[in-house]
Amino acid sequence: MSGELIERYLDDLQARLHGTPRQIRRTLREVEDHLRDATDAGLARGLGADDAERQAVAAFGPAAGVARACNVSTWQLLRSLAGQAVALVGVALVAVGLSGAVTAVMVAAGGRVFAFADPAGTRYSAHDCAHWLGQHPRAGSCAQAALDEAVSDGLLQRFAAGAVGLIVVAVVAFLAHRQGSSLLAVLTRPVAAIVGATAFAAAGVVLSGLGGNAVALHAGNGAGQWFAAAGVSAVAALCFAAIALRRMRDMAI
Amino acid sequence: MNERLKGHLDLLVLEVIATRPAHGYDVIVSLRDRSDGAFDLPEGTVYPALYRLERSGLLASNWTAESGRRRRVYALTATGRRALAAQRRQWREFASAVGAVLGAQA
Repeated sequence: MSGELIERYLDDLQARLHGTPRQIRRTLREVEDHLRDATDAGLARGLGADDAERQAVAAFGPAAGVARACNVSTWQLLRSLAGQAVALVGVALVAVGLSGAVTAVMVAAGGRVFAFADPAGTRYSAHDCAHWLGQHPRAGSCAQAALDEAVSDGLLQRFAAGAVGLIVVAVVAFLAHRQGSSLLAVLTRPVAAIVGATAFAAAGVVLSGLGGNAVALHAGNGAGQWFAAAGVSAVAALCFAAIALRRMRDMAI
Repeated sequence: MNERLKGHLDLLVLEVIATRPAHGYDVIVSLRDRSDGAFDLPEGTVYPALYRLERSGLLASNWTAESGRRRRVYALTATGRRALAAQRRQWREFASAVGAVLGAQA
């Protein structure tokens, strides 16, 4: 009989648990450890083996209730995923803002053409030229006015995206704090970390390609904006990848 | 008592683990001992709380081997320490307010 009651309890619990095989194995191993510790404690108090085991199982509570409490409901899962998705969108917008800051440094260092210029020989319509020259009266030519416009619009749009991202991130941090959690905890969940690493890595590859294309085909005109964004994406991808690896290691059995 | 306790289980579990990293059985025994037996929950209720706190990033856990037996040991993360400090403060404010109201009627 010794151990049989615990085995039957674990069988019952296993049939009721939902989740990945690893999660279920982990729960079963923890519960088994617990029941064997509790049985040992009963034996130490002078109970017989069967009584100690029976008492350990009874003190643990019905398997149905334990499984119900351990299983994550669909609603909880969806709410958690939605929170992580919004947090990631916020971080992505902040990354766009940071890429704007890097590009602004490029522009300040005299790299306006590298950062934002159109390919040499680009033709502009008379209407566009008139509009840009009106906006930038000190520009000596339509191409120069187009570059001035691209610099001001490009930086403004990136900084605006960054500001919206900061607001989104602040709202997620506030809501997480109200639930006893934190923004960091939301962003370091395994799903958020894996999606973040994958999305930023993909963005980094695409943006590097756009920059490389500008270098190869257009003498580098406008490549800077893509390389700045690719650099920020690469840093973000590395951060999320490190978090994802750490979380997966923590979960390993 | 146990029904009332369930609403505060996360705070109590964090408090126990703040003292030292612990496995599930350790946590339930510490809760019982530190409350002089008043908190005598069904022992299985501690695991959903531990999993919830770990999913929220307040706890981290690892398998260890102690005297020949494997154990999943939980420890507070930096976020968990901050959350515990905030929950302690909220609880003290709440308990103080309840105490003031009850005291006023005594």
